[in-house]
Amino acid sequence: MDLGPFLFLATLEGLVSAAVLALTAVGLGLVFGVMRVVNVAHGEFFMLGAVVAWAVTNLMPGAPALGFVAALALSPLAAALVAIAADRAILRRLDYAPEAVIVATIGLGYILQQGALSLYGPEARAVAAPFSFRIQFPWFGYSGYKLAVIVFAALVLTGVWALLTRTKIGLVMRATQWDRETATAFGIDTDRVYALVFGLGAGLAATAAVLVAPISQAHYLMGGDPLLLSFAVVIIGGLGSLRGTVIAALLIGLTDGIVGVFFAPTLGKILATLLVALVLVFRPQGLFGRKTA
Amino acid sequence: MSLTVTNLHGGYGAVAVLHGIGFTVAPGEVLCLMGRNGAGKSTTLKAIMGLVRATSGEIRLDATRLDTLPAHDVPRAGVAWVPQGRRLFAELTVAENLEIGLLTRQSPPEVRERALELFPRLRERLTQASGTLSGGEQQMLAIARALCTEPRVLLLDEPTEGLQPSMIALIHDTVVRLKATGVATVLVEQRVDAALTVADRIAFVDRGRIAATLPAAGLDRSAAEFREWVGV
Repeated sequence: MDLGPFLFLATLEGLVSAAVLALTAVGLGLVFGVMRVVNVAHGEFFMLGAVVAWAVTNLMPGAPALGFVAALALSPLAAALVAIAADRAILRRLDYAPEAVIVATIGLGYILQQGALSLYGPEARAVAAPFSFRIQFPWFGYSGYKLAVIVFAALVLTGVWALLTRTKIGLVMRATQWDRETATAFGIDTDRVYALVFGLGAGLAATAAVLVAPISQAHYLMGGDPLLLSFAVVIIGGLGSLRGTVIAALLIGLTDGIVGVFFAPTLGKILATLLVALVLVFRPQGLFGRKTA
Repeated sequence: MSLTVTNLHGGYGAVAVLHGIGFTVAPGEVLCLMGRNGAGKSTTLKAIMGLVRATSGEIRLDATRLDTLPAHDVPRAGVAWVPQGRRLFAELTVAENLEIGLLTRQSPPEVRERALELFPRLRERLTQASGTLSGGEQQMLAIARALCTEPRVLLLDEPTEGLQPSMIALIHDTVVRLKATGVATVLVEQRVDAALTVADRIAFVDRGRIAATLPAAGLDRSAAEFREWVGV
């Protein structure tokens, strides 16, 4: 294959990675942005999404598309409900103290991971794609499902943006993000806002996992890479910046895809890590973040 | 509605700041809390808002106990707070800050219009991020945001701090206009002139309790109470 088509293929692969990564990282960034806590269990909510997607698609009779649509609705809901329960049972009792939440979510992640191992097993299992057609380019054919993943992720991200900027609940979330105490003094039940945001963050990770499950299978250890890459994206983009998160996800996803196709997949991860290190040294608030006092 | 604070104790964690503070503010009355830094004036306002937990004592809005409510229900009961330093949602626009005020008690848009009539300059800034406003405009917005909650009791924590004289006069004028509508106001103020201009009574706060309460009309700026309790 010539360089041009090869680059095009690599770019498409990179966009798929970027789309999934953006969804996952926006969930992590939203939780940090509003609640000022780092959710180390975020990768396990991703895993939970894929595992529940496998269960739903296997339990649902009829066409694979039907099962997949059900999974796309139920997996994020399940992850969100687990997250809300964890928020009420654990994080709220810790009064969202940042250091304590890190330790607690390490434990929560471990519980989710071992729970999946016990109930789901150690195997990597395939999740059927809702459809399987190839789009034929002049140089190669490409999975229609992967292109659909890009479009769907873009739609969900647009929805998150609209939620934050165009709705009352988004306004309330942004006010809480800025100053929790003053938000409380204006009648905002910030405990409920936190539970909602923690659930939304987990739900976004689970949505990303459902989308990627037909491409990469569901496995109880699949949460590690999304967590690390999400941290990279959120650090590069700037904590609390939706725009920065999406742009950084594109940067990392495309780098990962293109370098991975042309050279070696590991080199893409090395470059992403190097970029994180450079951002931390030269612009700790991230490319689109604001300096904090 | 009257606000009655009775024998209130409380503080931050193990640090007790309030040691039995108590006062009453009637509808249409302005009570000014004065005292040295650290006397407990701002903490009292935060305790009324439920943001500092009272360990004992009572806070009542007429018959309703406020100190037993979750903090987010206090503004819904009709108490609004204009915090020291304004504490606007700086990334939100002026209109969005006002919207947060309206959401508190699900107030109709006319309430926002009434608040904007007091501060017409804000109308020209509705789409501007509130953090980019001048200090005076920020204070106008902080008060307008509180008024959007349709309060019966207004808690103002040093609203004229750092403002130029024309802006101070506007804020005082606003307090007087609100007084005429029957709003009970608790004003924390460090400046004697300001207190004497707008207050009906002045309560001197010392070490977390009221040391003395006097009618403002009977005081002038050379009164011994100001030297003793405020240090001016």
